Amino acid sequence: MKKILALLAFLALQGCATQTTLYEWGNYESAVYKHFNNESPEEQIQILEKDLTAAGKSGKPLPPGFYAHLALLYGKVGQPGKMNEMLALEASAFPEAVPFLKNLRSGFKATN
Amino acid sequence: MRKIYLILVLSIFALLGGCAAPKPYDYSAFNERMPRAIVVLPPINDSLDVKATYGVYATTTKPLAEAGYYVLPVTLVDEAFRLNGLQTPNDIHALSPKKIKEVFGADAGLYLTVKEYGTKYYVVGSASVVTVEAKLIDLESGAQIWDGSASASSEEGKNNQGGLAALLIGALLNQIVGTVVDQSSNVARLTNTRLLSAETPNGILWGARSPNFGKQK
Repeated sequence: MKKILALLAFLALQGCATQTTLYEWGNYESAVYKHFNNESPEEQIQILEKDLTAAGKSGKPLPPGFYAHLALLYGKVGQPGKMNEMLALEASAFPEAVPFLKNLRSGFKATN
Repeated sequence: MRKIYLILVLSIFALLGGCAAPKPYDYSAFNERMPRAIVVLPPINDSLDVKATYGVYATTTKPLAEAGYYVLPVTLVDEAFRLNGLQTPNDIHALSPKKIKEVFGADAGLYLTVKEYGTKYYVVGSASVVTVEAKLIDLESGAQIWDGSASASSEEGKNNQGGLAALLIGALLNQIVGTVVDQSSNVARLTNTRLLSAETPNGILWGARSPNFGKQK
């Protein structure tokens, strides 16, 4: 009887359970939140670079916007080389980003 | 024994009832225009808290991306609007859908309005409540293909046990924690998860990047 109960409870809960994630989110959401609250880009760059290094191990891709946000941060600290590298990574991971990133190039420059 | 089985069957129905969709949503326009890329616009703030727009905006990407959509990078989208002299969400939402499509290359735009954001104080407690309304617009035609709303509270799942003294201590603790960190931003994440996940009843459909794409409601 107890076994049946446990099994039924398990099955019922399974129906509501969330699936595993498609992406390795790391600290992306908190970095975005901190950016919107004007926290220093240098610290966020360090944290996201660690996520970038760790991402290879998990076997999951980094989420939409991860490289693009890191590109923005590199732009803010005046590193256009790293900025362009990250924009290229976003574009190759997500071809849907290409039209926007092309438009950005005309109006978006690395600033200090 | 029979009684026990009856209770069992009833309780399973009750459990399943929790997952069931309240009423069917008409997904014909959504299916017809099925977007691949979604641009989330900075949310309009109808609440009294100035932190609402970005407190909500920060956690919109994850549920949409996990549902299988490409979500345009929110911080760059926000920056692009600023560079073009558009400072307020109201100005941004007033742009033509065609113009937004032209700049961002997205198929659909998500227009959010924050109805409630922030901490409410009661005699013996406080609660952070975040309520958001959403409209998904096909940017080519300007037509609405989905809408929804969701709410979350910091007090969900907490029960008051241990009498009045415990209740008063709990109220004090809640308020301290609530002011030190922006508790509402955590509540906003829960609101967004409910509002923008494909798993929610009457929520968005699964997108092309999800293995569940095509398993529609």
